[in-house]
Order: sequence, then C-alpha cells, then structure tokens
Amino acid sequence: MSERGAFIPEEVLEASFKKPGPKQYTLWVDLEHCIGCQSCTMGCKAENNTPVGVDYNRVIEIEEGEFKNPKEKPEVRVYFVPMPCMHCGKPACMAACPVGAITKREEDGIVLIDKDKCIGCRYCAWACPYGHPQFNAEAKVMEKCTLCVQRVTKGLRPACVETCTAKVRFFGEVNDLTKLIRERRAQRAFVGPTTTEPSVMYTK
Amino acid sequence: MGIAEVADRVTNNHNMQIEVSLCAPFRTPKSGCSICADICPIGAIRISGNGVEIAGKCIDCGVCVSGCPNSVFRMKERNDEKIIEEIKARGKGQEAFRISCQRGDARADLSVPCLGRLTEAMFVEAIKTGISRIEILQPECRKCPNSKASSHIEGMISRALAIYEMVDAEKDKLIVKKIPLQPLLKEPGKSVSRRELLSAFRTKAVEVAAACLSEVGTEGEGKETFREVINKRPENFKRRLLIQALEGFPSLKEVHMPSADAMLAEIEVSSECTACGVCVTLCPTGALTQEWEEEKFCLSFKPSVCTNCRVCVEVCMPEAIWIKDSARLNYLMEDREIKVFEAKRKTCSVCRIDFVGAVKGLRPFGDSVAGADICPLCIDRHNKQMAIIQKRGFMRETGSPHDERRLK
Repeated sequence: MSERGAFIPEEVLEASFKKPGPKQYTLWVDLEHCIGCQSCTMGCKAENNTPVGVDYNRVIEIEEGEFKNPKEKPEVRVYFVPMPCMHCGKPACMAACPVGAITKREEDGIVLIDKDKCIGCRYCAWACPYGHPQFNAEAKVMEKCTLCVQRVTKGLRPACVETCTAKVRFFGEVNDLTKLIRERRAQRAFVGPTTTEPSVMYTK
Repeated sequence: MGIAEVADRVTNNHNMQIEVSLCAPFRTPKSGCSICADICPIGAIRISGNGVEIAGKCIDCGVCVSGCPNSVFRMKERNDEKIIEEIKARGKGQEAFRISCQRGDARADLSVPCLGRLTEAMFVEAIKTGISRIEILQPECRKCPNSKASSHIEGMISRALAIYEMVDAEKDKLIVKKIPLQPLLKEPGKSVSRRELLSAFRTKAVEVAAACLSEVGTEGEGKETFREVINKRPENFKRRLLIQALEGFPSLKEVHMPSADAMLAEIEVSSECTACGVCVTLCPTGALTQEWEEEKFCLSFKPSVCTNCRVCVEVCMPEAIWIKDSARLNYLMEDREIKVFEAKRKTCSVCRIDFVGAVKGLRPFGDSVAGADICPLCIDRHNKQMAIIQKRGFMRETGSPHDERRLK
C-alpha cells in the first residue's frame, strides 16, 4: 500500500457499479449558514449509538482566503463542512470489500455495511476518498453513516437533519433537491474528488 | 421450506451435498473460481453471491466432486471412500487395472459415470494394490455430452503422472488408451410384478418425504452469521484420502509441477503486506495463519493444506501475495509451516490499533506527532482530509452525475 496508496483499479470500480436504481436519496447542506455547532454530529451519535472514536458525521473547518493587511478589509472566510457518507453512485468502499459486505440499495441508493458479513479488514476505509468508514474496535466491524435508514424507511428524516440548529441540512431525492437548489439560484457542488460520484450536495 | 422446495427434493435425487463454507466464491465475490460450473456436463451448477448451488437436473456423475479443489461437493451414495474400496478389492493380483466410463468399456475393472469422477487419491490407491499398470480407456470425450469435463480429466491425469513420479513408479505405469464412444449402456431390466413396482414407489416416497421433513424442523433456529460460517473450516476429505493413500510409500522423489494444474501452491509475500489478516480469514482450508507476538507479526503458510484455490491472491488489496510458478508436491506429505512474512509490531498512537512496519510514500503529519507511530490508515485518512481542506476551491462545481445518467 506504499507509493500507490490504496487504489481500486478502474475496471473493478466499473464492474462493481450496477445500473442506478430509480431513486437516490441524499442530503443537501447549505454551507453559507452552517455555524459548525456540531449538533448534527451529536444528534447522529445519539440516534445511532456509536462508540467513542466513531462519528458517522464529522464537521471540518476550512479557511478560505488570506488575512494580509489588518488595515485593509480581510478577505478571509471560514466554512464548516459537515461530511457524512457521500452515498456515492460508484462506491469505492463497495468495490474494495473482499466479502461483499457493502451494498447499495436499489430503492433509495443508500450504501450500507452488513455487519454480519463484515470481517473488519478496513479495506473500505482505505478505498473511500473521504476516509469515511470507521472501525468499531469492540464489535471488530466497520461502521458508516447509514443515512438513518431505520428512520427513512419509516418516513422520517435522518437525525442530523432533524437536529440541525441552523436548518442548513435537507434530505430528499437528489432530483427534487436539485430543483430546490436551482429555485434558490444557488450553485450546486460536491466536496472532494468526484471519481466515485458522491451524492451529497453542498451550496456555498 | 415451502411446498415447491419439498416437491423439488422428492423429484430430484439429491445424492449431492454441498459444504458451502469451503466454496471460494461464497467466501469472497472476488474469487474467479468457476470450476464446478464449467465442468458440470449439464450446466446444473450455479454460482451466485450465496456461493454455489445445484439448480438443475443432477445426474450424479460426480465430476464436481473431483473438480472442486476444496471438496465442496460430497456424494452420499458411491462416495470417494466407496470407490477406493472397489479399487482395493478388484486390483489385487491383476496385471493391468482398467478404468473406463459409462460411454467407454463396460468390462473395465473400475467403471465410473465419467472419467472426470476420478481423483488423485484413487490413482494412488490403484498402484498400491501392486498391479503393474493402469489403463485409462478413454473414448472421444469431445463427442460426449460430458465434453465439458475433458479439460479437467487432462489436468487430473497430469497430476496423477506427477504423483507417480514422486512415488518413484516405473515409467508407463499409467497408459491412456483411446477407444470408440459407446452408446449409453442400459442394464438389462429384470421383470417385476406390478405390486413390487408400486410398493417400491411407496417406500421411496416415504423415505424422501421423511428426509425432507427432518430438515424442515431445523430451519430458522438462529441463523449463523457469515463470519461464523467461514470460521468453521470443515474437513477437506479429498486431501485426507490423498495423504492416506500416499502414506504407503516410504521414500519420495523430489517433484515440482507447474502451479497452473497443481493441487497445491507455494506462495510468497512481499513487504507490501499490511498485516490486515484478510487472506488468513478467507483462506477456505486454513492454510494461512497469523500470529501477533509481542514484538512482531508473523504470517505462516502450510502447503500440505493448501489447495491452490487462489483466494488469498484475489482478495489481497495491496497485492502483496502471489503464487510461485511451480509447486513442490512433496509438501503434501510434510506437516510443515513456513514463515512467509514477518514484520515489527507497532501500535498507532491515533487509533490504538496494531500495524506493521513503515509504509513508504505516505507522509506522516505534523510536528506535534513527530516520532510517534501512526498507522498507514490514519495517515491516509488525514492526508485525504488535508487534500480537501487545503485545495483551493474544495468544492467541485460540476453537474451531478446522477442527472446525466437519468437523462441518457
């Protein structure tokens, strides 16, 4: 795993990718108003009962611009970027798993780890461009954001969306959310490398 | 078990048992093994995410039993032990021992449904009886509906010849004779009364129904997880029979054969190994074992247990493990464990999980953790995060790939 880094060969990634299902449910996060309060992280932790060290949602701080001259107006901007699982269209984690424990659901596009199959090898964490799957040291399996599938199947919204204090997180079908974004005349974007076709959308 | 399944079991003669935990595609979808499906003469075997299953009219030819390197398939009637008994009984005091198939010579000393049914152990047991030569009476396999098994038969004969060389048998101990393809033989029927026929039906139906019902009760009682199933590692009976057969030979010659057709493999591991343990967990026969000692990590390999199924090579993500070009067959009789990889043990100060060695090319992060051990996964995760944070314009303002796909 040295000079190359962890890699999934192109043909393996393509082969693991089936025809997309009818719907892709995802999140839209408005970075303009995210204040970095970490309520989403805490709400997710409470809902999914994750152990210490495992966070399905992580909020990272990104500074843009430079603070050159204190006399002039500073051109600095700080963004808080919540990063859950991107529920990619071509999940590298799914391509990397040696036992096929990771599947992408047909009906809603949610990427899930089957904990009965997982052998805790951490190949998915290697392959994920965001380093998202995390190791549960007690159960010796990998865990990741499930888009609160247990809530979504009951018609509820994921915990992170419910607990967001600034109401900057939205849940829905990717085409519906895209329409909403365009109505607001905002520019839709994705975070990080997009080789795996991430679903989670951001607006600045 | 639904009524359809019960009906299926009544009408199909389920002589075959499948030990799916030994099946390579069951353990990992990355396995390219399809030997059973390729050689089944009627294409009755299907390989899926759940492993392997017989999904058609099985004719009990037993070619899959011999073909699968890991002994996934077992026959209840006329199993390997039975055939070996037949060989031992009929081989005594014979000049030549003739083996043929159902479409070959009916007067052969050993007749099997298809020559693909033969295993290495059967070939060894044959020469142990003291006969001077073995004749395989092989009809034109290409013209037989079982032609799919012919490549397997060629591989089996080359393995038998290599084993014969190892036990220092005389040259020409094994001869293959080409004979014409006969029509399928039918045993002369003996006449039975109507009463005998109907009572035979009734007995058979009751037997099969009883067998089905006994399985119904056990279903649904605490399904095992995948992890529990792959740790079971049931016996590779064909390997046991082969080793038992070879025990009769006191001294063995050194023999190597090309690894493509060999029944075992010799593996090598490079420094790319990250001690992830996937090869150990997924090896169907347990030939690979790992040990986390106080100061180091050791990966060991037992060739006598290896079946050359290639799961270890196919699952290793860093591609640190590979199979040598040739295999030394003498390992079959040596109970040796070979150390194939060893590295210094370290504990990551970030995630507290053990890792091995240093990994070239991954830059550790920050002066604050200078001198501390950080595992490659934590370094990699941090680098990915830094790449997102530090890149100018961390957001890609591209159109969603989803839309493009739906519009197509």
